[in-house]
Amino acid sequence: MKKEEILDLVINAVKEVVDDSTTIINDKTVLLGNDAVVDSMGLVNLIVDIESALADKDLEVTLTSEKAMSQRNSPFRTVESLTDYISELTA
Amino acid sequence: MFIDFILERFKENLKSEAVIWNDTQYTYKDLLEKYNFWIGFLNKNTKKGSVVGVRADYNPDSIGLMLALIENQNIFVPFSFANKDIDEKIESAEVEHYIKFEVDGTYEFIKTGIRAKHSLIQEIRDRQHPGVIVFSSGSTGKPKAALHDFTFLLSKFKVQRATLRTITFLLFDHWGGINTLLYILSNVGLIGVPKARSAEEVCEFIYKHKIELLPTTPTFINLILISKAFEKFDISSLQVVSYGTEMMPESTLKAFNSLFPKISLKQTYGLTELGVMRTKSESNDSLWLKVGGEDYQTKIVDNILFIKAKTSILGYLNAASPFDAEGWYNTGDKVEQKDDWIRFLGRESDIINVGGQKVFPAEVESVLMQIENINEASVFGKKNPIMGNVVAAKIILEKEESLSEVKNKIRKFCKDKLEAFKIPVHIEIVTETNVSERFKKVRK
Repeated sequence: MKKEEILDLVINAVKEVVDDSTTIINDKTVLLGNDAVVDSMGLVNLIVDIESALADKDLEVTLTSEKAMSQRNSPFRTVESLTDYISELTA
Repeated sequence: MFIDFILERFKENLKSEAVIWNDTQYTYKDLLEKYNFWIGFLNKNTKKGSVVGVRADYNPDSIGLMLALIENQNIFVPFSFANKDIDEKIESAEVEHYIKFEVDGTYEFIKTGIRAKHSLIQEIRDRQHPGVIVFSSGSTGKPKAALHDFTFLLSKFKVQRATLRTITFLLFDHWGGINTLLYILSNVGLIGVPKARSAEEVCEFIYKHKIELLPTTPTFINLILISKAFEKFDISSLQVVSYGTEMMPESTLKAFNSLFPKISLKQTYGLTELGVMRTKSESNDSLWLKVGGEDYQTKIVDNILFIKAKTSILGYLNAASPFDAEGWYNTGDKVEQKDDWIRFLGRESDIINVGGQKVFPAEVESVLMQIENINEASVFGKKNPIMGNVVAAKIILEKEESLSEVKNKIRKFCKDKLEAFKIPVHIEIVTETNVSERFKKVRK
């Protein structure tokens, strides 16, 4: 899958979870911490949604592996970092 | 001698309708004949105090046999056609003789070769009382064989009371079913046995035989609502629908009540270990109730209901006693309290722990089932690396809709009705109703 496609997929997933047309969602959107557009349950939902969207494209990926959880810089920080992480996993 | 008072009432009402089975009516005279046949049979083939297993559904023979087993001072072990593990249960209940009915009413008499010598069985033999062993399903572990002294149950029925024309819905091996049956027999009422326990069949049976009381489960009430079988068959002869054995979704209760405001809805509460308690629902569309009666004491510790009964089981044949030193029984049912009223929240074992917060499946199911186009929902926990567990739901739709549409709809609808951690993360659309043969919701 091309990186742009992954980015689209992530942005769409974030939009669905946030469900608020006034919030701008792009590659810089923050997913973790004080400025995050989602709370912890929102992030859980987002991850499950992205995993199932990838599964629909025959990509069986677990985003919350021990590796992801233990990285110093969490891949869930922003839309961009999450996109990078997914493209790494699906490469 | 144990059931003299019941037999007397039969003799006074020989012409009254007793059982409708296989579309045929049997009177109390017929039932008495069946009883006499089985008394002769048991005298010839078994001894007092021997343990007799019976696999059957309710029919004139199995009912006559049950009464004969009581009178003959046997220990009765009922099984139903839903049991998949009868061989194992025969072992744990130490069944010595096994009478195996087929659906058509024919039967086979089998000597198992087992000799019952458990100390509890010995105890009931020493009392010279009839007994009954029922299995407590339990959500985990092996079914437990619970031994009751039958005379305690019978004493409840000595005072004659009014009965309603009743359909047998609970299976032959169900403690609540045995209670209902003995209540009807001792008050010479009518027992209707439907050919199958489908919504359509049951509604047709109610219509045809003017049934007044339907004892059932919340899941089955929901199946009746979904099937719309009540539009095909008029079920307005019903006066009471009683429900128990699992959590009732508030949405189902309210929907049924608004369709049938004249039918009383009564929640029952029974436990294999203790018996069926007297209950009083606050109203037809309320889940608040009082449980107890003079034979029961209750207390609530950490929101869990504990009960102490005047009469309870002698014990389990294959497990340690479930009572504490003072005789209290931990029901495992979480409840909330409002003055004298309580409301069941769910089984402690069904609770989903989402990042330390507790979710009761029934609460979420009840909200989901209010959503347009969702007919049925079953909610369970799914492992999640972040929260430990998250809420997952299996949904049955009325008409086709895409998963993403359903997901969005659920999130939007739940947003202001449930806290975020209670809203299902995983959603799966299924077509088959996930219910057991006992019409209880299966959550997985």
